[in-house]
Amino acid sequence: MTNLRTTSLTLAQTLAAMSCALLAVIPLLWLMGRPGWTVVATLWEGPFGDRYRFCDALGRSCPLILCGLSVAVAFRCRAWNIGAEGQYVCGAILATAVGVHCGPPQAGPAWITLGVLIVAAALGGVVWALVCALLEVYRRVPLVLGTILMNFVATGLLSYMVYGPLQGADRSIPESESISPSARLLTLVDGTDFHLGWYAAVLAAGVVWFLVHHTSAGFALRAVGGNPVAARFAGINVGRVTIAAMALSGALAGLAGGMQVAGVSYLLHVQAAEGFGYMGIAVALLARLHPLGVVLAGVALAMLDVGAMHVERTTMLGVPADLATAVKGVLILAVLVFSSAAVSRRLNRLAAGERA
Amino acid sequence: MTTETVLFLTQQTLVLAVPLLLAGLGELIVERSGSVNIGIEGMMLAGALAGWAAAVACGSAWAGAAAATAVGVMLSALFALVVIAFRADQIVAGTAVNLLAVGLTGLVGARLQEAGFDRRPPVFFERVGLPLLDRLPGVGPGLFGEGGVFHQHGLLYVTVLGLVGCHLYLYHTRWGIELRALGENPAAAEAAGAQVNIRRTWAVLFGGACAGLAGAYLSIMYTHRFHDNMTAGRGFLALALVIFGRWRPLGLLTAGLVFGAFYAAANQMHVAGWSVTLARHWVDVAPYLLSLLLLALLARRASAPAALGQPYERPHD
Repeated sequence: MTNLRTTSLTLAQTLAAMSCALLAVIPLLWLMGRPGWTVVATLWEGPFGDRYRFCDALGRSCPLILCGLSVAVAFRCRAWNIGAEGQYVCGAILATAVGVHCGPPQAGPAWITLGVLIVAAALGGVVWALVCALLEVYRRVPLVLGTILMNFVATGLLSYMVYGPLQGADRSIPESESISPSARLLTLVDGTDFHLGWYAAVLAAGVVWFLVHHTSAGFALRAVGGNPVAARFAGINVGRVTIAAMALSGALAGLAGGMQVAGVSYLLHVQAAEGFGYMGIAVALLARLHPLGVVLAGVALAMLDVGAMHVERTTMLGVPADLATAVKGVLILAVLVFSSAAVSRRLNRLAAGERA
Repeated sequence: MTTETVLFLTQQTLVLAVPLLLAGLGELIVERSGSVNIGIEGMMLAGALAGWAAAVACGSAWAGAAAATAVGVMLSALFALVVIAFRADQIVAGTAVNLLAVGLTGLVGARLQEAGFDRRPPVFFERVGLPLLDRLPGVGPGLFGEGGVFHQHGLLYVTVLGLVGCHLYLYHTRWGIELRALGENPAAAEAAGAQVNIRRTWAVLFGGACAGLAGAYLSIMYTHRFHDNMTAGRGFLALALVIFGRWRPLGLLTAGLVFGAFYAAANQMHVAGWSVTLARHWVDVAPYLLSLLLLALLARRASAPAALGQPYERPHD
């Protein structure tokens, strides 16, 4: 019974935070001289007004779910990985390198190329994350700062790659060649971004859920997140757990980058760092760091993105897609407030009082 | 290198160090009081937009500075509400502030451009020489007079004085010692009569004001206009500088000057023709690589305030 109550309370808090975030932008839009209600209605029409845009939103939720999982795993053990963005970019770079240079295999099934691409993407993310994890554990460089700085380094590496080693035959644009067709993920609905990777992302959420909640390694991870000092006294090697969690976190973010290349863009361009890594923080928080919640939160925020892009395209409204970013910022703050101990305590008392 | 180049680089070092030092000064006070505000990047960005817009609208750089400070304070008040009143996690809240600032500046920036705000601010902060010193025989006029290395924007001198003042405040006044106590042992500070959460709130607001002003300096004095994400991680570098300076104002000053020199050198490399080679991408990320390297070498030896990042709950009496 208590469990059910906690779950419904959590859900109610999350929904309240989401409504707050959406409502908060209306006065802002009015201040800018924009029709607030119309903008919000158009926002809704984005994913729900058209079947293709709905599928686009599902496609967009793939990197969001994976980055959300990446952040959720790290935050679960208090490893403040703000670097999903850099790990995503690194995954995308390695995936492109594989996709462009490794054509279809001479022998064996064609999907081997795709398999190598996926592994390379995950490895890229792991390497980028491990640098920060090792710096934190062995050189006491705060993980927050290390991962943020590595994001900027990754952006530099990306522009070096698309202007340099990976640039395609057309030297006038900063873009790579397209990856070979055998390395691409199957598009599920033609003309949209909805590709097979979405199911992989959902599967990954299931795997992460099992790992974190039903294995002894996952228990160690949650113990370190709950109280690192107590975990150390219980014989858990906190440093090793942090490194492992960061490796998994990096792999997930790297996968997100790789799948975006293999399923949507088919090439690497200079704007490939679209901020999915930062959005992953919003996704993970909205899901309260629960791997299965991440799927719902990822889809919800992808719909917000698609809605905001629809608003931007409806040019008479004159509102750019940055709207979605602002909403996400408010959303995180609102989730923090609604899930804070002070508010939770009060809500719990309220719910208990109703039943008594 | 000619003497002229050296003088020019020194002058540019000072120009480029100001935003880092200013944001770092605010963050140093915030961290000494026990909070971590990684939202200063976003506050700088919002300050850059507000400062530039107000300077163009009012035709005065000082109006820009005031607007930027106000915006920095408003964003940091939001941050303080969430992390101090509701005791939420500071890293997550700071990230949220950064996202919010990116989104808001994108929205408002586009609206301003539509309203015809696409100009340089007509008036800049005036450059001032140092009085008396410019009358030194020999080197005086060259260094401190019109066009000399130290003929700088007033904000540079305000920042340096601020850092020296901050040093005196932290180590030689009762209030400063109490501020440090908030970050080392808030329960003891509270027992000694300091209201921890109220003082921490003031510190966060001060940090926001500094970050906003630093942003205004960038947009009004350095780039002369606003563009999306123009702070490009300078707020995050300020966070690293506080660590390099070991949470001491004079250490921060040194670290800020080193990074200012680094930026000046990078700019000079662009001018010298690197900007057409592939190496320019590495020159662009060099400050971040340098700070990672320095953190790896120095972070072990620096000791952070003991209660850094931990929310404080007043005991019920």
